[in-house]
Amino acid sequence: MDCKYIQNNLVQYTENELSVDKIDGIKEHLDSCKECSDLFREISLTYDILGDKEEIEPKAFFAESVLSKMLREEELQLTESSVFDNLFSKYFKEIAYSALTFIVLLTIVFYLSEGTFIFSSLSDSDFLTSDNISSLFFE
Amino acid sequence: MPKEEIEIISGILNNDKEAFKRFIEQHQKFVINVCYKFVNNADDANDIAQEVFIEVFRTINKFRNESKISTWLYRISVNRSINFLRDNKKYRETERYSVDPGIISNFSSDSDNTADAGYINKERKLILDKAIDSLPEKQKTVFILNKNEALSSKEISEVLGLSVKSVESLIARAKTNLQKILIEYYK
Repeated sequence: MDCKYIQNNLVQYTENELSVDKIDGIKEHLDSCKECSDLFREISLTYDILGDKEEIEPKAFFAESVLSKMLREEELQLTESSVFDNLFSKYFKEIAYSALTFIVLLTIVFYLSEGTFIFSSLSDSDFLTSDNISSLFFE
Repeated sequence: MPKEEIEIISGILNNDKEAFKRFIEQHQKFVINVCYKFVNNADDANDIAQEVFIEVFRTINKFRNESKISTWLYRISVNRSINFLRDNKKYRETERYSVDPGIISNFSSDSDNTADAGYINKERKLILDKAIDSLPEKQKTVFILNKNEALSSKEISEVLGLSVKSVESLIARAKTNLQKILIEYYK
């Protein structure tokens, strides 16, 4: 077993997850190699801390602070939705009238420009003769 | 589930804030400490735990009586803590861990017999927390639940909604990666 193999299996060795043969081989190597045995020592000391994490206590009045935070969030949601409702009801009629007026104006402009376009293209192409005009309407 | 717990849950379902307060008081220490194991900061753990309980209140109707409350609380606490870490990645890396680089070279075979043993142990904890924190997210999650919370692979699979096989594979990969990181530190 070389140093690389040992170092790749130190955690498994610490956790006793290896076969008896491998454990014996690693033990033998660690007894004769200072670099690996120092590494093993540090890693096992560090690894031993796992699960020893200190417990912390909740802050004073934790439950009350959760309830008041929840209440604040609910109030904020209510305020936001009522502000939106107010704005919507206040400006709804004006927005609706403006939109309707805009659509009507847009339709008029569109039809006017279409008519101008038809007549201008007819006159440009010398088709605006009395015969052509009558054929346009009476054909 | 104990009768008292069923009463509390049905109270919360009926929007009873008093029942919810009792629920918080029963589980606050558990939730805060699960969060703490992920974020390593007491203030942050308290803040996240507040969010956990608010989510509990809002989603209590989704809680199925056949699963354990602890499993459900674990799930919300883990998700909230991971989201917190994602959102505060920069702060996490720069503020929470400040391992004295010199201390690593001071680890010697007799260091535990000196007056500095407590300090060195504290630094070891920091190194370990930092190493765990640098694991990929899923590996880190299963590793913390397995090693710090002492949950079995089956319990972790229920909390995270993964198969037992996936959990075992993640734990094995986490150990291998943690070993590499620790060897880099101490070499």
